[in-house]
Amino acid sequence: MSLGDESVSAPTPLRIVVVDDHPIWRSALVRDLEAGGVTVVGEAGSVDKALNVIKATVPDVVLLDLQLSDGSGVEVARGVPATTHILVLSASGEHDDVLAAVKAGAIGYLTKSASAVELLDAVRRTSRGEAVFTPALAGLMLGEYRRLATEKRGTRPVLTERETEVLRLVAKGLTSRLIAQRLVVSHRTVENHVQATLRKLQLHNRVELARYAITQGFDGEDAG
Amino acid sequence: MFVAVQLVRSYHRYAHPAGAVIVLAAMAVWTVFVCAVQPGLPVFARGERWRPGGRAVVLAVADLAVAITAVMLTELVDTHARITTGAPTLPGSWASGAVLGAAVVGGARLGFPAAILLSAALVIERKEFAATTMSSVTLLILAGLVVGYLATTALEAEREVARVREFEAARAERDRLARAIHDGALQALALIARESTTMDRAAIADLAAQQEVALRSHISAIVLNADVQPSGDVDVRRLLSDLDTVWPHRQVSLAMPAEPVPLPRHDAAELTAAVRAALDNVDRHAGAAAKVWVLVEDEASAVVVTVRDDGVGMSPDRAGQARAAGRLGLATSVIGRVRALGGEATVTSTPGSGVEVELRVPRR
Repeated sequence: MSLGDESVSAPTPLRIVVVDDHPIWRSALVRDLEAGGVTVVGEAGSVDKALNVIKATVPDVVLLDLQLSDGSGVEVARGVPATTHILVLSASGEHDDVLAAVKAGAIGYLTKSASAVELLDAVRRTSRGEAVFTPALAGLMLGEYRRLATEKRGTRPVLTERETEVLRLVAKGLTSRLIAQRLVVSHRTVENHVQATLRKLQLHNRVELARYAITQGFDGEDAG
Repeated sequence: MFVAVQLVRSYHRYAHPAGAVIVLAAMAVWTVFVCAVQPGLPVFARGERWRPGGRAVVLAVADLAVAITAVMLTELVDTHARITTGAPTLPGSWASGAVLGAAVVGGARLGFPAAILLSAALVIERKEFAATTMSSVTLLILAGLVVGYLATTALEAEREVARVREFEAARAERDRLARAIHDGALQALALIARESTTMDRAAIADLAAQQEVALRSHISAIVLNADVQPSGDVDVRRLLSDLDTVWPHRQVSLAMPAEPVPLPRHDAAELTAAVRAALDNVDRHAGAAAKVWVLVEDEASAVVVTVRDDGVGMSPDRAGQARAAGRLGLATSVIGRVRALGGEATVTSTPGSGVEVELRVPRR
């Protein structure tokens, strides 16, 4: 209810940057987004261009393809400021890149077979900071948490039993409404659980990066 | 055995019979130990890969050291007269086993030096080159070289066969993909090129969308194909990756880990067959509009695949009714397959909200 009221009382259109290296595909995306009332403030087909455009325009959302002409969209995800939300729109089958982008801060994932309606809905939810999970992403995250659990070294992010349960239900295609029904909790609670699974993974990634930087730094001092 | 009999027959002729018995007992214990440990070591592990320098080599060298020690100990327990007249050493032909073992484990490169070392021990123990010693030495060296050569050749051949098999599998997969792309995307493109002026735009869009999904799954099949498991296991994700093209009339969503999900070939094939049977069941009972979700999970001790649809569902006892009516679909083709692998299948459903089939196959 409150969400609906908000969107009515906040008419400022959503500002978005579209990053995809295929010009025809990109212009089709821009057309769909504009038709849906979203303002496209910039476009890019390469990592360098994307980082520049995002810096210059500071959009609400970056719609990010992972295969770019000069590298991976993961590099873009790493360079996006925290105030901008990232929605990954990629071909299926790029499992490792999708996970890397999510760890680097992307909060949503959609495959390119999604319809224009699904895309617009996902963009709006992303702009509000909501996680956009496909069953495929939930499956990847479950796998990643299980893989991390077998690692000996360092601290590991651990899901609560409830969070694992929610992630499994998402991976099995249940909507958050159905999940809320099945677990007899509120819709909001389900969303919180989903967000938590993302946040823990991203936090763990930042800790690991810091740890890596510190050990590298100490090694450098030893060598020098 | 032979050595023990020899010892009993000439017990009184040894200088220190008790010492001889102790040495023989030690040899017996060592033999039992080697026999117990050897099969677990990766010499011919699954016929896959030959790893010299592993623990098998360490064991072979230890075996040789024990054999040489036993030969040298003969001097302590036997009389000098018996030794120089060419009486058998304490371990006798038992010692040559160490040379054969080294040859099998490390080829001629390990067998030959082992034969030389043991021969040296024999010569030192006898303190002269008697004719019998020389013939033993010749036989040992021959055995080390020939057995070593044969072992290496056999392993080479085995690896060659494995390489050829892998190559054949890769070629079959390439052919399959080429055929699939030719029959699918290329045909569709040709059709659109020829008929696009007269064709309905919605029909063109449908055709293109269908082929897009198909091509994507071919591409992910190629990507997954690169992950051949070194253990000879099969990646379950790879076997399931084309489900969305096998069921083009139905929306199938696949969720799986980013890492390979290995299972032995047979188990993986049976699990895949069970998943397909579950999808067949969806086709028969869930209704035309039902969507399907497949989730693959890799738990440490088991692989779990869940097939869920949002179709009409079934009442709790429908599976039982179906069996009574002679329709064995879900019971044999899904549940039976998984049980045969030592796993379990759980079917849950409530009328109106689809069916969920969870297949759990343990890692054996």
